Parts: sequence; structure tokens; C-alpha cells
Amino acid sequence: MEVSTMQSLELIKDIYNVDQLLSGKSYIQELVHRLAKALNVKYVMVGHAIEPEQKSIQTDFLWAGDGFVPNVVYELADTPCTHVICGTRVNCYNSQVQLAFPKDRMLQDMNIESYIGAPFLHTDGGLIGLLVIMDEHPFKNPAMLSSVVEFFAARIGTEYRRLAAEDSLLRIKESLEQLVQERTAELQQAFASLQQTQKQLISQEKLATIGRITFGIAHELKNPLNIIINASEILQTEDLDPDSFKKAADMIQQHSLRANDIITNMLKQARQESSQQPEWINLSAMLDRSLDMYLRSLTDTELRSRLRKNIAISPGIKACLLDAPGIERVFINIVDNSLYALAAKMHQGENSYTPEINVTLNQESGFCRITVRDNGIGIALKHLPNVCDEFYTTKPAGEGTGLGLWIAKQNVEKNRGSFSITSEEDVFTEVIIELPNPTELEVQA
Amino acid sequence: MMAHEPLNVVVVDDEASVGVLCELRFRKSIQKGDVHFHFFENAQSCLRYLENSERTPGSEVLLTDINMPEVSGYDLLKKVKQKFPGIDVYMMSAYDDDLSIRKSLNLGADGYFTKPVNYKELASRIEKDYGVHLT
Repeated sequence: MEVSTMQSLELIKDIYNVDQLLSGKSYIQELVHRLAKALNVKYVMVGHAIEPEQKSIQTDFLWAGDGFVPNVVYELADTPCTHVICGTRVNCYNSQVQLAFPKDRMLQDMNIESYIGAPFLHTDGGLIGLLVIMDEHPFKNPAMLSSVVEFFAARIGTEYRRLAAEDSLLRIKESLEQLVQERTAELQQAFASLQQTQKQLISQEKLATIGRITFGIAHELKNPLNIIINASEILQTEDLDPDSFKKAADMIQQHSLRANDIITNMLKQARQESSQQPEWINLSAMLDRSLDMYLRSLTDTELRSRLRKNIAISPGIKACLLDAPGIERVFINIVDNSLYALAAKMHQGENSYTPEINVTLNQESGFCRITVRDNGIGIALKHLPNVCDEFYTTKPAGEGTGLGLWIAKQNVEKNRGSFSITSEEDVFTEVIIELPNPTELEVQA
Repeated sequence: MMAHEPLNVVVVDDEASVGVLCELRFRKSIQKGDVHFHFFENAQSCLRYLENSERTPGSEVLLTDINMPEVSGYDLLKKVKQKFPGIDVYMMSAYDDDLSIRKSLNLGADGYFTKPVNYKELASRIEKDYGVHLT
């Protein structure tokens, strides 16, 4: 190996012995410092070409004499640097560089005698910047200097590329973070609006059944009104015999009370609020009343006249409920579903078919059991596991919200009860609701 | 029609009070013998009565409710029109929707009164159709 090569390698090793924990700008700065010291030159400069024209250089590290000085920007035209960036290798002027570039004022002002520069490039070959070493004396060992400058230009180029990569990663990260934030905000908004919609749907579903019943009840009210209106007209006729007078007056009394009962029950049903305190209620009476009201409100006359009702509600069963109106709605909803299934099957037109509904309420030990069973169209096996899911419906669009059974199940569970459905398609559906009702003595204990 | 032939008024409603009401409404004509009044709480007993009594065509009117358990007013209307075509049938119902009215007319009903029934209108309709005087 030649002496100069050996020397350059030693020199490179020496300069390169930088604290390896340094990185980026501080690493390059340290290299520049070491280059100036080891090579014993006055100026060491690292700069990058200003995009996009690359007609001038912005220095990033500028060593002059004893230390770093403020960075400068200079035009490339008529400077030895132009030759550096035009080629891809080292460009060296051992001495009298000012003679080669007479228009370069900076060389004159700084009293430069010798110049060596090497470019560093992007991986695709495009220029990033350059490393330049200048001195006020001629270079003594240009060959060695060339190796050293070429090596360190490459090393500094790597650092520049790494910095650029880090920078672009950072920008990507920032823009990703912003994107994530924006998306999160959008999702949160969408979620909030979904929650709102769900609330509305649940409240609509609660009202839907009540709405249907109200329609039926409104008609139901016309029957007592028919009698009240006409009986009071009779009362107004002259020469009414005492017997007829009493009959008419009695009817008015009787049917006003009946109309009042109907309205009271309807209002109880429509009540949406629930108490948060458990209260003991007479479940038998509540089911009797709501079933009676519901069946009265049936508007399908064919179903109403063909329906066979088997009602076995044991009297006097009490339950301790958190939300009695909720449970009443559940019950009506289940009965409403049964009637829907019965009507659907009846209207399939089989003459021998008798629509039948069985409703029972029984006291078991520690809990009571409500069953509602019908011999309607039933539920297909594939739908059965999902019928209590939110928004699950087999009804045509606009006819069901798919929330009825979901709400029912939630309501029963809120009251610490259990809710189950068994069914066979085209044969039957049976809903069993069990509600805890320990005896009042047990509760007190 | 002979002016002195009594009109046979048959009312069917699952509510007994409707019978009492009609009877009160027509009490003077009933007392005078211008109207023969019959009330039934269900369609079956009405049909049994019609099968077991003599018909007086042209002076018989049947007023029926629609919404009744077991046999509805529609079914009664259908059967009466089949077996006793001489009897005019008027519906009296709380239903006031087109569907119920059209269904009744298709089954052959001669009139449709919605509840609350305007008895003055009902009476004048009967007076016009049958030439009886209802006071």
C-alpha cells in the first residue's frame, strides 16, 4: 500500500473517531470541527443547494479559523463550487484558485489560495449539497486530501439523507396524527348521532305499540259515548215516564264510568317514566287490565271474532318491580306480537284454523312466571337466536324497528328477571318471563 | 205496503245497553204497536230467532254492530243476506274507515251508521224507507 493511501486511512480513522452517540446535525458539526483540526485548514464548509433551481448554496456548517461562524448564502455562478456540483467527484485547486475564478469576490475577500470540494448526492444521483475545504496556503498533499474529502462528503451525505428521511417521517407522522384526530372526531360525531337516533327509535318503538292500541281504544271509547250521548238526549225529551228516565240515567252513569276506566288505563299505558325505587305492584291486576284493554283495542274484526282466548292469570300475585310500566309494555308487546303472528297465519286462509292465545301467570317459589303462547306463524329456526338482537326484524321496511323484543328483554333484565322465547315455525311461539318476587317477609329480612 | 202493518226492528249488539237504548228511543212506537222490537246480544241467537219466526217481507229491518266476539257483524250480514234476502240490514259501528264501510256495502248492507249513532237520522231514514211514523 502506498504511503499516501496509508496516511489518508490513518487520517480518516482519526477524524472518524467521533462520539458515536452523536447523530444528525451535532454529528456533522463534530466532523467539520475535526476535519479543520486534523487537516490544519482555515475553512471547512458544508452546505446544501437551494431548491428548486440549485443556483445558490445555503451553508449549514461554516468553520472559519478558530470556530464556527454564522452561515451564509452564496451564488454558485463563477465559483469553483459550480464545478463541484456539475460533476460527481472531487474538484481540487491546489493553489491560485483565485486566478481560475477571477469573478469570485468571496475567494478574494477571504484570501483563499487553495480549494477542494466534493458533492453529496441523493440515492437517485441528484445533488443534495457539498463539502468544501479552503485554505490561505497551497495544499501540501492533494491526493490524500481528495480521498479524505470524498470519504467525508459521502458520510455527510448519508447523514443528510437520514435527516431528510427522519423529517419526512415526522411530517408523515404529524399528518397521520392529524388525520387520526379528524377521523376520531368524525367517528365521535357519528357515534353521538347514532346514539341519538337509537334513543329516538327506542322511544318510537315504545310509542308504536301504544299508538296502535290508542287507535283501537279511540274506537272503543265511541261505544260508551254512543250510549251516553243518546241516553242524555232521551233525558231531554218531555213526558218521559219515570221508569225510562231511570234507565237512561243509569246508562249514562254506567258508561261514563266505563269511558273513564278506558282512558285511565290508556294513560297508564302511555306513561313512559319509571320510578327508580322498587315498588310492589299487583301483577295479576296489571296483566288482567292491560290484556283486557289490548283485546278491546283489536281492530281486526275477523281475528277478534275467531280468536280463542285461554286466560289463566292467578289472582293476587304481587311482584317487586323497578319499572312496572316498563313490564306492562313488555307484556303488551309480547301479546301484540302473538296477535300479529295469529293474524298472519289466519290470513293465509286455512278454514279449519282457530287462532288461539294462551296467557298464564303463576306463582313459583321465589318468582312468578308469565307465559304467552300462540299458535301463529311461529319463528323460523334461523331467526330464533337473533330475535332479541337490536334492530333485528323480519318485517318489511317501515313496519318494524327491530327493537320490540330487544327492549322487552332489557326491561325484564332491568327488573332482575329472565326472558326466553321458544318457537317452531308455523306451529307456535311461547314467551316466558320470570320475575323475582320473594315474599314480603323475605324482603324485609 | 199497508200503512198499519207494524215494522219489525231487530237489533244485534254485544252491549246490552244498546238494546235498552234503542228500546227507549222507539218506546212510543213500540207502545203504539207500530214497531215490534227484538234485541240480541249475539249473532247466533239472532239467527235462531230469524229461523224460528215468520218473515214479513218489506217491513223488517236489522241493525247490527260489527265488532262482536265469535260471529262478527260481517258474518251475520252475509248469512242474513243469503237466508233472508227480504230483510234490510244496517250496520252500526264505531269504525268509520272506508275499508269497513266498503266491506259492508260489498256484503250487501243497506246502510251504515257510525257510533255515536245519530238516532234522529236513523229514525228519519226508517220513516222514509218504511213509511212508519217514529215519534
